[in-house]
Amino acid sequence: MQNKVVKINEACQTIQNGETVAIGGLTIHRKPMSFIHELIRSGKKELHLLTLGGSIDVDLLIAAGSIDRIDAAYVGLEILGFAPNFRKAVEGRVIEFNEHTEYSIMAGLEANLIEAEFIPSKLLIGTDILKSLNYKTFRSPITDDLLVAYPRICPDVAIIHVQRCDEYGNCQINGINAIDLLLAKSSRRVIVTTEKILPTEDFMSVPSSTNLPSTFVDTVVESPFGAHPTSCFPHYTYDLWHLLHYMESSKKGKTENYIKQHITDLDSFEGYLNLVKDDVKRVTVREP
Amino acid sequence: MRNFTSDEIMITCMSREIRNGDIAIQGLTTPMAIISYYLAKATHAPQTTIMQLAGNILTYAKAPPQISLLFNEFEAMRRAVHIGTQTEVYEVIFKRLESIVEFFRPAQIDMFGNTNNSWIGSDISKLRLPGGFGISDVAALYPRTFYYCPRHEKRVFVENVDHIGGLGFRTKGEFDQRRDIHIISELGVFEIEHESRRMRLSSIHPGIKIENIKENTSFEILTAEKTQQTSPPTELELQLIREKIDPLNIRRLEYLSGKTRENALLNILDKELSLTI
Repeated sequence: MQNKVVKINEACQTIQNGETVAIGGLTIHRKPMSFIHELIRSGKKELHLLTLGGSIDVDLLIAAGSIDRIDAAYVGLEILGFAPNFRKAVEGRVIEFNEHTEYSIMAGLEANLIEAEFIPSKLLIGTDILKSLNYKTFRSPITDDLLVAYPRICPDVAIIHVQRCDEYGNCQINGINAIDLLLAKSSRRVIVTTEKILPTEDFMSVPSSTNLPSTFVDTVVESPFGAHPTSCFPHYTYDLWHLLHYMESSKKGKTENYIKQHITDLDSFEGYLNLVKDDVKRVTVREP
Repeated sequence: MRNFTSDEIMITCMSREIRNGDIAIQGLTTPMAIISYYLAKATHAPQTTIMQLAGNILTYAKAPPQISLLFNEFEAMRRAVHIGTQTEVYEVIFKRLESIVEFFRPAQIDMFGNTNNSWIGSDISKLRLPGGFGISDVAALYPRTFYYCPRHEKRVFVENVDHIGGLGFRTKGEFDQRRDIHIISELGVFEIEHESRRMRLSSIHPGIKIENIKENTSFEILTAEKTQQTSPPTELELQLIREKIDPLNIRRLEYLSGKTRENALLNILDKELSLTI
């Protein structure tokens, strides 16, 4: 096992324009927000984004002009409503949105994992979702049943925020898991941002809690509060006030101002945390 | 005057669809769904298994818990007996198809039970919705598919959906196996009739007239000669909803929009913050 700890800007430099980037977490839960900020700050372009359920992560990258394609089963701010820049960019055909379902993403990643061209399944037959995805159907060579070929999905890099890991990338993900383990296994490279880096000895007493082992992880970045304004159980819950503020600023067509003030005018995510320290305090449950 | 609100009779109807021993899955943001699961467990279906946070978190509770807006995940984790993955949720679904209950909220539903959460209009340029998440995966798979529509309006109950996500019935085909689709709205309970493949009124909520349903539906709903009335919520059901499960009235957010909704939301958040952290 080798030490994989680097600074966030070093980790970000490994990402090339045009790569397919898979984002972990789900909607407003455990999104790698510090890394999203870094992608924007470093001016990445033409990224293809893949996420099971996106929210402010996707919306910010769209507003910053960092992505030209998004594959997801849902992009919205849950109880708060629509993701404003996502909606505008898709309606205006500024970006391409492939609406997936949970299964179409999982099957595509699973196919990649086992190095299959596709996974056959009956799911989605008869729906317009299948037509929009433009997936092919075929007759089973065994039963002659109609099947869908779910083609492999091959992310270049997965970005996953976790509660704790060691310097080798042995991670304990807590709370909602979504498809993060599958993302890690099926992406070519894996960058983990973590609330805290702990000694490996801490993991040896509870090995069954290590649900993402270092064998799947390439890079580790320490990033306390790195998921704000999304949640990171049990440290802090999602910051619905901040998310409302974000939506409000987008409504006025001023996401550019939000990005400037919260991301590009600042040197680092620590600068952002300092700027929104009262917001962070409000949603912090336990000191990490 | 009714002594209950639209959300309360809807939650009661949703709860009564759950059979003792069923596995109830909560998807994304659906407060009324989780309230109905807790209600079922506290009344007629104590053996209900509940999977929260898109099904990831298997929870256990003897007494009905109070739902939370700000601490949804924390609330579930307090009672977690197992944390799964999204892949595992589908493994449970495939294995236990007959027992799964999941309430979906469609943006549009048509007379044949097809639903849409993708976009409204002839193409994506008018109103791009967040997406259906897992609805289209499982709508045609479940032997019993459940939808709830807090707003029974013409733009929700449409003749044909603009884009089929959750598959109902329309054309004959080999994917058209026999299955049940139930719809619960603020006005009544509906199902898709097997013979005609069309939406039929099963029962009308107390205080609602058949004209109310006709005026707010874009197609003709089939009705029986004598329409059944929905049994109103019992005193116990109302007390559980109002005092135990959702005293902050989070369920009401499913009906509100715009500034009214935002204010109600902030009000709930402030209350939760003062109570918990």
